[in-house]
Amino acid sequence: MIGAAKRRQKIVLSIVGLLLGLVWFFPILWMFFSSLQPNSELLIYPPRILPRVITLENFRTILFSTRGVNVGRSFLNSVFYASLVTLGVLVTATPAAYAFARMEFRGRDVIFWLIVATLILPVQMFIVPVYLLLDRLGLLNTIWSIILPPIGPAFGVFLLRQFMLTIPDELEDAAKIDGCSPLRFLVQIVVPLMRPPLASLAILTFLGIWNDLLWPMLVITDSKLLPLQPALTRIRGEYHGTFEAGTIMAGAFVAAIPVLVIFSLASRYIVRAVSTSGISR
Amino acid sequence: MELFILPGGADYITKLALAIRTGAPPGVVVLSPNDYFRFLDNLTSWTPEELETQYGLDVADFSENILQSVTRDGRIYAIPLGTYCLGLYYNIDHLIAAGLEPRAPETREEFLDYVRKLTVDKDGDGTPDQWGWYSFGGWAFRVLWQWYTLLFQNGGALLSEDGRSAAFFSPEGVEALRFYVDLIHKENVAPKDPADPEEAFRIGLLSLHVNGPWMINLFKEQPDLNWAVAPVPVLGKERVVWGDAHLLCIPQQSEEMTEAAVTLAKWLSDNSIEWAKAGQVPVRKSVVDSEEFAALTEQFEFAKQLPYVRFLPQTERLAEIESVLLEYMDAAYLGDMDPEEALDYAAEEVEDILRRR
Amino acid sequence: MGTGKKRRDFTPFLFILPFMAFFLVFIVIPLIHGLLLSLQEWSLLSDPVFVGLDNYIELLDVRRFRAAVQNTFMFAVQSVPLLLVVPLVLALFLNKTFVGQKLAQNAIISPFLIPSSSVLLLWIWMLDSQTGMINQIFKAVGLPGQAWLSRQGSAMGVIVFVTLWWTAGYNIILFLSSLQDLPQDLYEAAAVDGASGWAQFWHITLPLLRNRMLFITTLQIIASFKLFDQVYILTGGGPAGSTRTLAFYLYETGFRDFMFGRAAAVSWYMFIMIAIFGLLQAKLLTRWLGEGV
Repeated sequence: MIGAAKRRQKIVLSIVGLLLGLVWFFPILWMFFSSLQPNSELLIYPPRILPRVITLENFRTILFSTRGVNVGRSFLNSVFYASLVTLGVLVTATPAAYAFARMEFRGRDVIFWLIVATLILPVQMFIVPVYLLLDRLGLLNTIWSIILPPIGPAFGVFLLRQFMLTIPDELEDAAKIDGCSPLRFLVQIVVPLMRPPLASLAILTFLGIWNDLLWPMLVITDSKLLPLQPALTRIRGEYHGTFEAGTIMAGAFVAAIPVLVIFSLASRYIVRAVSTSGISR
Repeated sequence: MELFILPGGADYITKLALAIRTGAPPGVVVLSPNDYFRFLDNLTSWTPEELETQYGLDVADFSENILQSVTRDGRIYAIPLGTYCLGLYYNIDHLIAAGLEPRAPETREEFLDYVRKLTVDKDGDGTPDQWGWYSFGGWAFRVLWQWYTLLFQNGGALLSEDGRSAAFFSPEGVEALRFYVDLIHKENVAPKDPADPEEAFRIGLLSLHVNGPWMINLFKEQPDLNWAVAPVPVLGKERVVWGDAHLLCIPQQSEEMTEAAVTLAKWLSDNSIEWAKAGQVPVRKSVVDSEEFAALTEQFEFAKQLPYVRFLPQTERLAEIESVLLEYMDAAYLGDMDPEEALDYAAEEVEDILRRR
Repeated sequence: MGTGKKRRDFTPFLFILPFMAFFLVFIVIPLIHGLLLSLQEWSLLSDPVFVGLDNYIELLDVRRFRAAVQNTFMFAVQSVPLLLVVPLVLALFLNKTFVGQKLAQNAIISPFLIPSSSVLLLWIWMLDSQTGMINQIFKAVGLPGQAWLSRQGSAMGVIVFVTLWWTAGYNIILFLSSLQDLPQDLYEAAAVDGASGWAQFWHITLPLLRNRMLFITTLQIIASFKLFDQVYILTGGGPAGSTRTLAFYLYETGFRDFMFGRAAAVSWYMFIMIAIFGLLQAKLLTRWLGEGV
């Protein structure tokens, strides 16, 4: 009896869950459907729910046309920028976090907490001065204007330090007796131990850059250097609103699909990365 | 030589300002009259004679009102490339179906007659499914442009002569705004909910539509849409139409660069028929009078209005002013605020903006 | 011995040096520069003039700034509770085991990964008042279509809704990871005592999630003060300025009107408001949730 009730409950849960999932995901499916239809088909009144013609024309336009923005190229730009920033954050934050967590030096804790305190400052406070700084350095409209500033914030140092505090002292003592230098200890022992938080930090950093709109919009003019996000908003100027909805949706879809694929393949890591960001504060 | 086309928008102007400040300006920039005004001190200028003798540019070939807008103290600060203004697009099939002559309305009475007859409730559900006129929704600035047009037609002005104070809170300004608001809330020839008229015109929900020449090619793409375009009707006292322009400006730079830049600008101007095909109206009389241009039927309708085009007063605060105006116009169009009250508030804020610095 | 000590003194310095260099250049210096800027009047084409606190005082008098503060608060007041409660409910649901759980979870979570411009272009298309899908559904069930993004009453609501749809996944993950860490024996003991599911939730789950909820609320408050993308792409601050947020006002002031001093002052106001709002909610939430324990 109880078994049957339980099973019924499970079936209800499954149905509710799948329906909910479908409704929630529906807009993304709609984006895909729209991108597969010719623009003229989308602009009829009253609109049709089921497509009459299926075409890949929109994807061809968006990826290969030279009208203002090249989404394919911007996509690659974004991958490149986000990777470089991630690399920069990992390389600078790891040793710093290690020093703050495991090394003794004067003023260590004061410096650390002062640095962490800057994390609560809204990014808006940095936009104008960093913009003017990059201008003075002659770096506006270069890839450096996108890659260098995001390495400054203390988030990575803070996150990694929390994890490094958990490294057992014995490991370090043993290494010291063996005459292992701090740098070697860091690279050969600490980094492999820290793989999960490092991966989480990498994912969070990558996503942060991938999703940023305002900053690249301000600092990049050259459409060849434009990352995906501002390129997509520029599409709206280049392609005419609902007149070319299919083409615009193709652009939006091209930008969405890689993250969705990666998520379906590696959701575990992304979920862990996000959970980690929660532990850290 | 780098040609730097500014697609408009705040960040481009900021970038240009920075580029000029750091001493590495682009060779030639395309600017609108108001943006060009902000950079006046940093632009190369010539006397008409210099342009003619040094570069072989026939200054008399340019349309007068636009040339005047780039001339200060006898010096020319930009080479006009093309202009644009509003035109009235109309759906020929709708006009015929409503028993109207298939031509655009020309006066206020005609316009009102047209829009009333063109608003049709086809399925009898109480809401029209074909509208005579609407122009609120979609691209926000069109709302301003049509209001400027009627403001000017009424004999009003946006700013005072010296550009130091707001002049639009006047009987002319209020009447102009009230006319459009009443079309929605009194005449019921436009829906109360904002909706994109460009889209509506294209799919046959809308019969009359005011817009710029850039819509020509987009409307041509729509199969089964039987349309034409004409000069905007005279809804006020005199024939005037709001317009804007593309100016080729040359930031101050080395002599060698300036030379090359002017040559490029001249070449672009000489070949401005190519811009016309994209929807711009050329400002060179020789181009406007050419057979090649006459063959561009729709563009030609816009060009007829060239002598009546009025540009906005030049102020470096225009972006701010327009954003204030847009806000209050939204409120008036939505019926949340009386037109008079809206413009009163807007004028007060614009005064504030102009007083600063 | 002496040299060994010296080297040990230098190592930590070398370890933090690369990071500190970036931190100094892109955080510390801009922070100081920003403070100085906020005391100046400066448009790009002229020289800066020191004006003391004028920018701060003037701003209090600017209607659009005050409206932007109000709009930002409105967004925060609407979005923060929604982004706390809806993800919590969804997480409680997804925390159960059933066939298709993984699929449902991924479908609900995944939108937060999609870049904002992609999401927002999609919603513009869905919300189009004439050919959009949403109004089609409305009409199909006999409701009148709406001009979603052009009405003062609905535009901010739409922004809240789209933000919820887009970012709920992030908070769901945070809740799920906490739920999975909850001590199971407490529930077993409660079940033995005959506590209902609702009582278990109220007396065990909720108090244990307290810190997580505080964290999410703080995060959400900071995020609502940053609200820019949605405004920039969906409404441009309209209709009638009803969706102009502080972040958008800062963008307009600095990068459209070239008033960098005033823009810097806006950002300091933002900081003050986040600090006040953050402290206030921490106090309130601690008191409210503290009772449950």
